[in-house]
Order: sequence, then structure tokens, then C-alpha cells
Amino acid sequence: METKKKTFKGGFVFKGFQGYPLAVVESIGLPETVMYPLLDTKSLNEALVSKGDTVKAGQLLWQNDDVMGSPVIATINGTVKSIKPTMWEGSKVPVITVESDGTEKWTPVKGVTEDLDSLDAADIEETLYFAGVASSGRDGIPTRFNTSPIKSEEVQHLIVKHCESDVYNTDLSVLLRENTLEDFFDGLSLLKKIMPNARVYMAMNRKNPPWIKELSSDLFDEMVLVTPKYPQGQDEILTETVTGMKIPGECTPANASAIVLDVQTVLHVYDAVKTGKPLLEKIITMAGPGFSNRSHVKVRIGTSFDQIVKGRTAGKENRYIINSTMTGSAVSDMAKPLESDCNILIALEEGRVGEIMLWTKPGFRKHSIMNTMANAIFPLAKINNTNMNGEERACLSCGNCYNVCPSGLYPTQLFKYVERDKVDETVMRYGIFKCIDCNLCTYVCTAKIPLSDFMKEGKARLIKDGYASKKEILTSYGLKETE
Amino acid sequence: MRKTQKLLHKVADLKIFSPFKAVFETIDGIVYGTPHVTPGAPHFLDHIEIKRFMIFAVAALIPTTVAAVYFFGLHVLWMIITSYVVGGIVEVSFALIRKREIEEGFLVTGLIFPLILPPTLPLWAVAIGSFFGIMFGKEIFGGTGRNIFNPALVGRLFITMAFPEIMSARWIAPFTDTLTSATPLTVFNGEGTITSLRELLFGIGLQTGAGSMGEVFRIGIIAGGLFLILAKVTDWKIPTFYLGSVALFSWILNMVSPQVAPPAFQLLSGGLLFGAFFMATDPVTTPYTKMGKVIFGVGAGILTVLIRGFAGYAEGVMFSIILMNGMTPLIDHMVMENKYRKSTI
Ligand code: SF4
Ligand code: SF4
Repeated sequence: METKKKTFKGGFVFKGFQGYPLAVVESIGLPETVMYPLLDTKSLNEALVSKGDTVKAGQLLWQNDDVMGSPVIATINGTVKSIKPTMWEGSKVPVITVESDGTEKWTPVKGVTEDLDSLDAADIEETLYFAGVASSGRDGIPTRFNTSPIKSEEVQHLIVKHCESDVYNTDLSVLLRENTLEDFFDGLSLLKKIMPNARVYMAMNRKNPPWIKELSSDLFDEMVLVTPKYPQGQDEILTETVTGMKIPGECTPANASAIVLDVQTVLHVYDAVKTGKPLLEKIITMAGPGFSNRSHVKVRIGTSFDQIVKGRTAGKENRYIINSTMTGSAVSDMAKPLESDCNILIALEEGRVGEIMLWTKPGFRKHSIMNTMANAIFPLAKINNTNMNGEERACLSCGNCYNVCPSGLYPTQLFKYVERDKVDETVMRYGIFKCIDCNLCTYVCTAKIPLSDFMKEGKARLIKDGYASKKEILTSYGLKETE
Repeated sequence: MRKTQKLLHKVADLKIFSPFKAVFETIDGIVYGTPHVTPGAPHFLDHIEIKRFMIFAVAALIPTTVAAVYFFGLHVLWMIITSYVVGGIVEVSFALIRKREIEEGFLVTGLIFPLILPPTLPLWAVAIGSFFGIMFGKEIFGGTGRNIFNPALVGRLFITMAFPEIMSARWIAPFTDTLTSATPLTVFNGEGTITSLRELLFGIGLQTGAGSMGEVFRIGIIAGGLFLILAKVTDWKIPTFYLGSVALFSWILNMVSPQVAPPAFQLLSGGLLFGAFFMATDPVTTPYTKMGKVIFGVGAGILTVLIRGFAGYAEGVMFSIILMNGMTPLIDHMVMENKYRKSTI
């Protein structure tokens, strides 16, 4: 195993904020009801169960191999209360509601074996598919069941990441205490069997020496120690840092024959194959100053956010954000269920009241990319809420946005072109497609201009107006097309 | 919402005040902060904002300002007040006409402008210069962030050309150009005498007169400039390359022709330090590209040495900065084209 230090230019280190979680795992018990939206179908008849049926945790509720992804499985034991079409992010999809019977047991996935070495890739793929694990991560885990845009043998780089570059991160010790280190390595060997041609990397925060030592193993071809600055954990930048291949914003690591997975997914792989445990529950990191009590919790997938945050909100008006304060989406309806791609749930208080004469105050608890807050000298825990912290103004070329842009762009200039409706070859040549939507430019802008929104608009318009197609982008960056 | 804020909104809603909506909105923003929340990702934002940015620039000018008042008396204070009042009126009127918020940029321009004037300029001339500078240096381009030339320099240039006699009457020795009548430099150009560097640094006991009132207390200027760089409000590249290239080129040229003053004297005399730290770093009128900043600094440095040495003007700082301001869009364009000359997507 080689160890290499790698990083990228730009970026921003988020540290010293309020609301970090404790490194403990709590159980919140079984939910009373769970919901499963069948996002990839419109028809009610495709559900494999009907109203009134008894279901067991691990049982298939929906399956369609023509659609990319895993089957939908039940995560608790109970009875189907209803199957009805519901509005879901703009379109109507069938939603199955199951009422719990209060038992914790689950049905193992078929074909489980104790002897991991005797398994071949086909067995593992099948287990992962039916356990619902195969669709974890941005591009899924490639199996012959159409769970990823690329085929298993095409994967050249398998990157396992734990970069801790976002504002709030999952604690590695929590994950590896629930399962052991050996489980993690076993999970990794299983993945290596599926993707035999891949070079395997572990991308780690280089400021985490105890775990670097523990995780050093010859199962990895390379240990990449990265600087924990945002957006290092974002798959596009991570793939570029690790493999040297630039992934433009419209593409995914799969286009560079790379698969990026997090530590928890590797553990799920182990669980599924070794014990037959389907993807029933996840460890969710609950962070942010909006929670009165912050920790990691074990939650069954399909539990509504209401049930997850119960008793932790302290009566505040919060915004709940999935996975990242920088790029994640806010939970629009707390009655919605947790989906399997959620790792972190962040609560930020809505800052609807501005602070009086803020600009004259020293700012002991305020963060700023410039050293204009007393916090730069006296680092007390920084307050963060959703207030805009200032009014939108004309750009004053302060330089923050292009000093932090991880893609080396000049967002200020690109934004001016898009704002003035000059979306043509020039913006394309100035690299707008390199933008990976990390939103860091908007975060640091002194004039509070929503720069990244302009980037998105510019890219969408270039494609719409026929200046570039996805295929042309891929060719010009030397990447491969995927399904 | 707070009670006083509600009251403010009630007053603002009165019919007679409807043309002044922008003013009320600005007061609301200054006093109560913004009530808006982020519309989506990113869900929280950095605390740097334009008011704090500007207040830092003003704070960095305080030592210089206090020294100017100390050296030249209360008239200086009146000049500053005049500049702010006139600048404020122009800014607010344009905000009302455009129905937009009042831009905070004049907080800095309003202070820099009097500091680059001779200390005994009559107030009416300050008023005219301030009006002209903000109006034609900034507002006709569309306000802060859209102007090409540094508004303070535009104002200064205008009164120099319109009233050469009052700009020169008290301060200008025969050889001096009007831009900054930097007298130790004039003395050097005339007699080849170098004023002691210690005198230059502190401005105390300076036998010869000052060109403009803000350039005298050089320790204060350096401290203010470093403060801004450490606070990351200004970029280090332009001052470093500007001062560096002045030192380098004056060293080379001084060896060739003694007509050019030696490096240390060049750096510490005239408006160079003030210009390098506070005017060449104005983010709006200087290049935004990193390479462009370097080119700007070096270009301004060469121009300054050349003008000072050969053009028959004693002071070249303001001229070189305004010339480079004019070149800024071109520099940026060339840097961008060069950087992306190979790419198509
Ligand atoms: S961060 Fe905002 S104000 Fe600063 S240069 Fe970029 S766009 Fe302009
Ligand atoms: S332009 Fe903005 S959103 Fe795009 S990569 Fe750069 S910093 Fe991120």
C-alpha cells in the first residue's frame, strides 16, 4: 500500500461551528409507521403487496430491473395500511404505508453464507441487490442487475472516502464501533471481488492520524491523505484529487470509470453478505445548533422526519437539511420518510430576525472568510443560522469567490456574462462546465450574489441552446459515456 | 420584528415619504440587519458583507486621517465633512432616481478623496471635486462595482485641471506637476537633495511641504495597509508588485541616470505608499484576475518611476494608477484569453 498526500487548489476549511454531534449512537426505537415512495414508477399495480398484507422486514415491495437501482424493501414487520398516489417533489407517485407490529426481527436475504471466501462475484452481487445495498452512493455499486451506470469489470478506481470536509460530518469512530474494523475490511474484500479490475483507494482526512494507522491495510492499493477542506468530500473533486481526472459538473465519477463509496456503505455490504441483513437502518448524524441534543442515531429507513427529530427541537423554528449545509436540500415536509441516501440530518435555526447594527460589532461568534471578525483571533464556537447576513449589492471584485473556487473558475466574471444574457462560447471557454455546483462561491460572496445559481443557469442554457451536448463535454474532458 | 423597526416601516409607508423608499430601506438594513433567509443551498452564508468590508477600509485610514488633522489643523476635518456631505448627497440622489439601495462605496471614497488633496484647499473646491468625482467617476457608470476609474482620482484630476492655480498656488514648486505636489520629490528633482528617510517616515519635522495631506504620516499608511492585507480585505499582490517594481526599476535606472531618485527615497516619498496601499488596491477599478493584479502592479510601478524621473513631473503615482485603471479591462481580458486559449468547453 502506498500513502500519498493529495489535495486541490481553492476550497475552504469549515471549523469551529456550533452544534457538532456527540460521538455516541442512540436508538430511537422502532417507528410506528413507515412510508416507501415508489419513485421510479407511476403505476399502483407494480407494488408487490396490497393493502392489508402482512410484511416482514426485508421483504420486497417493488422490483423492476429495467430501472436503474435496487428494489424497494420493507424495513419493519407489520401490515400494509395503504397504497395510494401522493404528490412527491412535483409528481404523483405511489406511496406504501406500513404499520409496525413492534417486533425487531428481520428476514435474512437468501443465500447467506458464513464462509466469505467461498462466495463468487455473482453471489455477492445478487445478495447486495436483494438487500437494497447496491444503489448506495452517487453511482451505486455495479452489479449485473443494472444498479449502476457502469459495469463491474469496467470500474478502474474504487474510492472509499471519509474526508470530513463538510461543516458537519459523521464520526468515523461511531461507525467503526457499531461494526468492527474487521467487518469493514471484509466488506472491502467483497467489493474487490465484484470489481476485480479496480485500483482501490482509501481517501482520508489527513488530520485523523489514529484512524489512518488503523485503516492502513494491504487491501488498499493507495491511502490518499486529503486536506479536510470543503468540497473535498464531494465526489467530483475527490475523484479528481485521487485519480487526476477532472469530472465536470454535468458528469459523475462513473464517467471516469470510478466508483466512490463511503465507509457506512462498505459496512452495509458486509452486513448484507455476512449476516444477510438487508438495508433496514442507517446511522444518521444529527447535527446543527437547531437540535437541543445532538448525536448519531440508528434509524429504520422510511421513518418520517417528524419521528426522528421528536424531542430534540427545543421548540425552535428550524430548517432541516439533508447531508450538507452547502449542497443539501431542505426537508420540505416533515411527514416525509427518510430515504437511504441520507447520512446526516442538520438543523439550522431560521434567522428571520436580523441583528441590530451587526456591522459595528466585533463578531466574537461570527465566521468570515476574511479576517474581519474577532473570531479570527478568539475562536469561540461560531453561530450559524439561515440569515442572509447582508443585502445583495453589485459585485465589488473582492476576490473571495475565485480564491475559493475548487475548479479554478472566476465565478464573478461568469456570473456577469450570464446576468447580461451573454451565454455563448465565451462562458463555455471560460470553463463554466467545470463548475461542480459546490456552492462555495455563493457562500463567501461579500455582495451576497447567488453566484452558483447563475452557474447552474448558464450551464443549463448552454445545453438548451445547443452550444454543447453532454457527449461533447465528455469527449473534451477525455471521459467515457455511460448508460 | 422589533417595535422601533415597526415604527420605521410605518413612517416609510406614509405617502409623503414614498419617493424616499430607498433611504428608508437603507436605514432599515444598516440598523436592523436583514430579515431575509437563504432561499436554498447553501443554507447558511459567510458573515462578510459590504458594510463591514467598507468599514474596514475606513478603519485602516484612521491613522492617516488623525495624523492629517494633527499636522494641518481643523480645516482638514472640514474638508472631510464636506467631501462626505457632497458625496452622500450625490449617492442618495442617484439611489432615489434609480430606485435602488444606497451603495456603501462612498464611505471609502468620501474619505480617500480629501486625503489626496493639498491640506489648504478651499472647501468649495473640495465640494466641486467630490461632486464631479462621484458623479462622473462612478454614478454615470452605474454605481459602485461598475466604475472603471477610481472616483477619488477622477475628482482630484478634475479640480487639478479646472483650477490649476489653487492647486498650485500654495504647494507647487516650479518643476512639479499638479497631480501631487510631493515636495521632497520636487526638491530632489530640483537640487538632488534627499530628505532624511526618518523625516519622511514619520512626517515630523519635515522641512519641505507636503503634497497631499494623507501621504505625510507614512508609518500610519503602512500600518493601515498591512492591516487590510492581514484582514484579507485587500489582496497582497498589487501593493507588493507595485512597490517592488518601483524599487527595482528605480535601482536600475538610478545606476544609469542619476536623474532618477534611488529606491528607498522613491518608496518613501510622495504619494506612493498611499497610492499603493489604498488606491491601487481598490478592487473595483483594478484587475480581478490574479495574473492581472501582478501586471497592474508592475505596470504602475514602471510608469511611476518613469513619470517621476523623466516626465518633468515630480509625482507620478496618481497618473500611473489612473492610466492603469483605464487599462484594467484590457489586462483582464488578455489574461482570461491567454488562460483559456486552448479550451473550447
Ligand atoms: S465574492 Fe461576490 S463580491 Fe466578491 S468578487 Fe466574487 S462575486 Fe464579486
Ligand atoms: S463556480 Fe462556484 S459552485 Fe461552481 S465550482 Fe466554483 S465555487 Fe463551486
